[in-house]
Amino acid sequence: MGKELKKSYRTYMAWNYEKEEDFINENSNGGWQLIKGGCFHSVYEKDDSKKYVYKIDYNPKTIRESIEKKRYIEMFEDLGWEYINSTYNGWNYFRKEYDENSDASEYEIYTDHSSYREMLDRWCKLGKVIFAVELIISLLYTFIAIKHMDIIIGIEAVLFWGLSVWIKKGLDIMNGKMQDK
Amino acid sequence: MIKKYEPLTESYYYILLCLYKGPNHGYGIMQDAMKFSNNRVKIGSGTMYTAVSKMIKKDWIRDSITTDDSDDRRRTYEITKEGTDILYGEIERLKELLNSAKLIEDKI
Repeated sequence: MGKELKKSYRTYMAWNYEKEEDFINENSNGGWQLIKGGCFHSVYEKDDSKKYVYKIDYNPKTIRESIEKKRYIEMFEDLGWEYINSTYNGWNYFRKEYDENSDASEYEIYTDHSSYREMLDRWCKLGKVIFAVELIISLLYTFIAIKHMDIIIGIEAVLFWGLSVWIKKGLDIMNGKMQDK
Repeated sequence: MIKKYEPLTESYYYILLCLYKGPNHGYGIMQDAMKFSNNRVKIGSGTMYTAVSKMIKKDWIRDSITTDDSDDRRRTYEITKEGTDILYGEIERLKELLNSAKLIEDKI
């Protein structure tokens, strides 16, 4: 009974979630089926008998609102998706067995532009808060470093500025996705 | 002035239309939308969830408590009075659009 398991310590950023999805699907093609998804740590199970299409979806309501989480998972199950797990920060993993005779539309979870945009926007709301906090910390560190002429705090300030720029880039990528799909 | 009836997306429209027929679950709504639209409108799970949870918040639809089929544990939804008004408003708007097209039909 005991199937071979494989752990993967791979991290991905929200704005690259489709790349993680592609990676998981490639693994499925190679006989490694995801059984627990995570932003830092995932678990796969060896099973060559099946092929799945995996989907990652962002819905922060699954973090605290248990009624809404139930509604959400039931809707996916109702439309033929198997729920795998949710991460602590609102990412949800689903899969559907791949059938080569099925139409590609069978594996789409967002079928209109406005709902896809709404999903991305749920993340962007959080992204903007993180960015604002980063920006305040960066400014604060810069101010303290200059005031005390402290090189260590100065280096920390630079690191925080780096993080801010990085998150801003992520937000821009997400906004780009909203424009062109 | 804010318009009373904003145009609905196709997904919203078909969900309301399907529920106007009677309470239904996600799968049933998806099937009906396909049937009504000759397989053109297929509503995916993410889109369906987003639309349904939004419309519940707006009080256009609500969870429906099924008394029959006690073994069918699927969650079903039903349209509210407000949702019915929205649907009528949208149908009127669509009729008007169609009539406008008819006015210049011979020129197309």
